[in-house]
Amino acid sequence: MYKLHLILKYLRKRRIAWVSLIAVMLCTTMVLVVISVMGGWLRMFRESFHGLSGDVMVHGRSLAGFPHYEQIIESVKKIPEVEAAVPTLRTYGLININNSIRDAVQVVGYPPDIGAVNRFPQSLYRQHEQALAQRKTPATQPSWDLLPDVNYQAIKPNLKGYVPGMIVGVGVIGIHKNQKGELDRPDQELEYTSWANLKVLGINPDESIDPEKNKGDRTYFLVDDSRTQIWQYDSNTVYVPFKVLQQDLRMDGSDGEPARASDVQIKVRAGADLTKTRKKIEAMVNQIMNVNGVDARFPYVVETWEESQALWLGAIEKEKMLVTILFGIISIVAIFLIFCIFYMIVVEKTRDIGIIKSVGATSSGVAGIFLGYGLAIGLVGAALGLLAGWAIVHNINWLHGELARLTGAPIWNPEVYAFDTIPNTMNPNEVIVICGIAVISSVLGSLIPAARAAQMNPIEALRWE
Amino acid sequence: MSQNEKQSSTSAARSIVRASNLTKAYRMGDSTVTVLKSLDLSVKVGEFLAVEGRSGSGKSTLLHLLGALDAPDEGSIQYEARDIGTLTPTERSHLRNTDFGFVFQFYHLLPELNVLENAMLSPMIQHSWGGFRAKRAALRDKASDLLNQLGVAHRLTHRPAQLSGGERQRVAIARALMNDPKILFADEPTGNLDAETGRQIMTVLERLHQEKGQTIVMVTHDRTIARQADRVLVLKEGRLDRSQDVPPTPAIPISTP
Repeated sequence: MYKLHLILKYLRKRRIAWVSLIAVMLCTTMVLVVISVMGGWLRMFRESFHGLSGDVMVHGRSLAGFPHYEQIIESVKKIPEVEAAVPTLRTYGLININNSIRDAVQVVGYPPDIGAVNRFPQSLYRQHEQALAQRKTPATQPSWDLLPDVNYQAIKPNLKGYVPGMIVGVGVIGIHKNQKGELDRPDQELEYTSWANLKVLGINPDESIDPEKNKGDRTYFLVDDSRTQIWQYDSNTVYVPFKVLQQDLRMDGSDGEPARASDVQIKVRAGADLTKTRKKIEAMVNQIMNVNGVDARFPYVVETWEESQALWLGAIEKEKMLVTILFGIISIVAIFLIFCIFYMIVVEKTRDIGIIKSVGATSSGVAGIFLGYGLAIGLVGAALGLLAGWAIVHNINWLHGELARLTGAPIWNPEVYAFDTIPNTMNPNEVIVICGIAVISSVLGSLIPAARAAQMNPIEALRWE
Repeated sequence: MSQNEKQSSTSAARSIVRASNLTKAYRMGDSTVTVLKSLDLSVKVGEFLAVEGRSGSGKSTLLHLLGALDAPDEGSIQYEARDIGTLTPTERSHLRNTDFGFVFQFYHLLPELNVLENAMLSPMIQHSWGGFRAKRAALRDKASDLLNQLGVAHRLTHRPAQLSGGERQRVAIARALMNDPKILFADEPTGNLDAETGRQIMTVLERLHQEKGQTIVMVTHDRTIARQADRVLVLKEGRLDRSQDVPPTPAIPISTP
């Protein structure tokens, strides 16, 4: 009983202990914020990358793509673990939007059923976000259809034939987050009445540039914009219908080679082993390529989404670990601080220890007071640290905006960190581990002082001046 | 009980503590100072024994040994037929908590606790959290009652720093009495007080002894103070100087009706 009573008294009355409490709090906050932001960053990367690729990809290593993709899709779909498979195209191009934006872009060709393998439809503003806001059912598959209530003839009077729609990454048309963390969206009327001339880069299977494939450009109308939150995609990618792009790249079989795709994205059923499924798919694709005598001009690789992003994910994971170790080392300072302060408290309280022992407290009881004191400081410090950490992480984008406004120098550059938003969620498991370590560290810091207090001879302690 | 009756009952009483051949030495650098030398002593139940001695005579050391705060180098201490030397540290702690009470020259109150909390320290140490909570009200009443008897009831919520020396010593006595100790050890209880306050504290101890039959072992350098006990032993250079022993004398009534 006296232990708890004295711990609470010491906690309230000994101001020096507050220094260790603040040290624990600051360390907890610091590590929580760093881990949450880094962890959140990694999580966002994983989710976003995964969201934009199938679980498994047959990935053409050349811009010329690889043939027999239709046969691959048909065969792969027969594997029980495979839910869907969809071909995609990617290349580069030059774009001119309304004569006001001229840029080099990455051009992606998606078929209408792309939603079966990835989360591209959910990244769309008009077809998903706005539809949700208007309480309409959002599209499960993207549409490149022109908008019915726009007079396209008035915008481009001389256009003839089929004019497809184009979906652009938000960054391509200059939609950024403002300092409040909100998207600065231009007038929708303007956006969805814009035209875009796109000249794509067609590559022959021998990687030579075919003049035939790069003759003219095609006019599109912007029908939607996509925000995947991965800045490297959002800032320079445009999405066009697969068939249109295939035709423009002459990868539809018109160049004398079989029709080709850049990738086949494959959705694997929930719960299936990704690596095993990947191996099955790989065996099947190799067989098809061998049977059809596909040569080395069409290099490809079959990989899971994690493997395809291993370079990025690995780098971020290492960075997170490095930062965790660095801040862990800084946190050891807190243990030493607690040790020093507790040592001081024990020296200062030597006579009290003598008194308590003379009145009948055992050595373990006295040790218990100081260990409990350390535990209490750890618990209160970790709790306050958690509160402060939560407040900072939760409002980190606002804080960042305010700091950027005050200093004029934003720290979080979306072009460097890939996302336009700083991650602001905490992982409960990480919170538990960090707070647990804070509490254990505090007890560790008080261990030696507590042992010293326990070993004190009551007579010598009472005589202490 | 008349003084004669009391005296006879005291002399007939059994020993509560018996020390034999007590020797205690301290190392001071390279040399060893023997503080107590083959000392024999016995304290009877209900006795008020004073050990008088000059500074450095070993009287505090003797008190610490008798009170199980320290262990002798040689010799043994029998407390109620138990050899204190054979007890484990935890058993000795328990003994100090339940059977012994200590009053020190420098009061030794815990500065963070108020008067009431200081007085309740012994039962707080004795009981578990649940046990203390169950008896809290009764223990609080007992502490308040004791503090009231000692004249510091108006200071219950004050901290030691806000009290005078005499008041602090009264609180220390209350703390020592909370667990109804069988022996009260007092180490120069008036040593840090002015003469008048010292007399008041002695009055408290004498009243405890006379009215409640409290066994008290007090050490002091002050002969006048020592003479207020039933029996006075003089400690000189680590040995009892039997030539100066003051036999049990009828105690002087401390208050006249």
